[in-house]
Amino acid sequence: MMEEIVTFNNKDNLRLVGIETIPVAPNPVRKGVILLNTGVNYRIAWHRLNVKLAKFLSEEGFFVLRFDTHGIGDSEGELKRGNIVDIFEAIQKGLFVDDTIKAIKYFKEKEKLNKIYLLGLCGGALTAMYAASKVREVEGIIHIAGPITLSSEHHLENKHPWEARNTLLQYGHKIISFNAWLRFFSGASEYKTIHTSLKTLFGSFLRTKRLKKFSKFKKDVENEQDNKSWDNLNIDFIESFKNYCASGRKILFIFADKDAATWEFRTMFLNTLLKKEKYKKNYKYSEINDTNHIFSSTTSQETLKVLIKTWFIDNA
Amino acid sequence: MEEFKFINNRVGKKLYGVLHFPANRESKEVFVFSSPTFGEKTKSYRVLGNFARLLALNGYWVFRFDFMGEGDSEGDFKEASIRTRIEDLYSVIDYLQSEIKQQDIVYNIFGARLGATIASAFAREKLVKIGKLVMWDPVIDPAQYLLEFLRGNLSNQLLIHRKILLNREDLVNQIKSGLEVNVDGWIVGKELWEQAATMNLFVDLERITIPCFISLSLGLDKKLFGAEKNVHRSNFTLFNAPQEFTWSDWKNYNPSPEIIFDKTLNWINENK
Repeated sequence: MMEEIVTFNNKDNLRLVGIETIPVAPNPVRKGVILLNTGVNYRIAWHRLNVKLAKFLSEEGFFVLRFDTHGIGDSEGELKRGNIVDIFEAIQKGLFVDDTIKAIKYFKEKEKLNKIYLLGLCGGALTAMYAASKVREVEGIIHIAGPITLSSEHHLENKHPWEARNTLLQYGHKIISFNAWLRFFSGASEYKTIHTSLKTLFGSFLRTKRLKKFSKFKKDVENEQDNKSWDNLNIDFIESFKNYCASGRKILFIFADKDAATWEFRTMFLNTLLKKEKYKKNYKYSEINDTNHIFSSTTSQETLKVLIKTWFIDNA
Repeated sequence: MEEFKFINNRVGKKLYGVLHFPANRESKEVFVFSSPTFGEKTKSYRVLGNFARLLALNGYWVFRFDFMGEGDSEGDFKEASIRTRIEDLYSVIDYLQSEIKQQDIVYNIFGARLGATIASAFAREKLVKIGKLVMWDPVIDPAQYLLEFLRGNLSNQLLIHRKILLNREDLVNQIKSGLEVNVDGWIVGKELWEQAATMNLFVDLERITIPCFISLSLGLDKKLFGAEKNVHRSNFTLFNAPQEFTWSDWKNYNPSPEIIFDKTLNWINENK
């Protein structure tokens, strides 16, 4: 394995910086994978996950490029300072798509690649979908823990129903603990947390009832107008997904079971649109147990690698 | 202008670094950046990169790099300790001595968070002549810092098992017995732990006689520094900084915090 620092310019002539990992024994088909940065994290991703994945993929014979989009890491440009939610939302709507398309063209030409794949974590997974729906050069996508809803101030300030459920389940474990009750009656419990969690769950219950009613009449989220009724659902992502699938290309979805994004993805996408027969040949969905949004456990990272490897073998 | 490169450290591992050139290549002052660790490194990467650019614009050479096992440098995070980080600083000085072919170069160290504490330990060894030391929110007690960092493991246990199976004390015992502990994906091992336990910023600062700028934005640290007599000597400048950005989360995205940039740069210029 060899690493090389590379630079190329985006459409606004800003210099983007990346690290290319060159395999010792390249796959004869000459395949490449581009790893996309998560949110405003730079090219290494959470706990250097992209560094670990790049090493793994190069050992499997892939050329790998992980790069900083404009305003991130060592690349030129600057994102507007201010509320992070606005930046997240911009990313979730495609802020880094043009940079990614440039990276695809640059990487393909540099290494004379015949097949190129995009792998994105969180916001990077959405960037991957948008870019692949626009350019045919992308052979496949590995979408890891990408959110199906758009970030908003309201959503970040309020407890997520999944988190509320989790908190209450943690308290549920303490229900037979004498010490826990002692803390509760002596004023030492976190009443605010309990209250917020209960309030959120009740709100979520009412909302689910509303969604069920909505689903009953509308069946799925195919109609864009109707999609707007789904609170904060990312319509652009769904449209890109449909375009992408129409070309017959494949996508691997990987999610963590202990992640609010997974809960939303299952509720709003996997159990609705992805149920449709016409999409079933396009995607594979996998969930890794006992892990969080950032795949912090070593076991989950190893499972992630196995799932990726298997998907590449199945789709060779 | 900046150049991206891999350099070798003293044990032959590749370190990723960025050399920022001043407009005047005759400049004799260099700043070596000693980065934070864990998620604090990722979250402040852009801020430190922008500060390096500002220094270069103002006539200083800057080399910022990833310690072995961090960022884009070679090695696993778990292999790196406090000592390997200090050794990497020596490797960087070796490299700069061959890269900047000038006489009477002055090496200055800039450090942030744990990187600042490592910078002070490096300066204290006095094996390389250091001109100035600049620190942003140095970690005063690395052992306590690591102990608090274990909270990430506890939160993850709650998330996965809905209860704590191993408390903080159990985790510390695991680390001390040579088992690794995973905190938010970072593997904390015995060597890092034990070496951190021997460090104390105030003890290091006591032996430092070079001009030193310390910016503090964290409330508790401000109190601790306030009570510490040794850092009120004439060679120390303490700056009570507002929280223009945070080390641990994004919330308010600010890649170029003006106040801390200006104050630090002014102090550096005044102490040429």
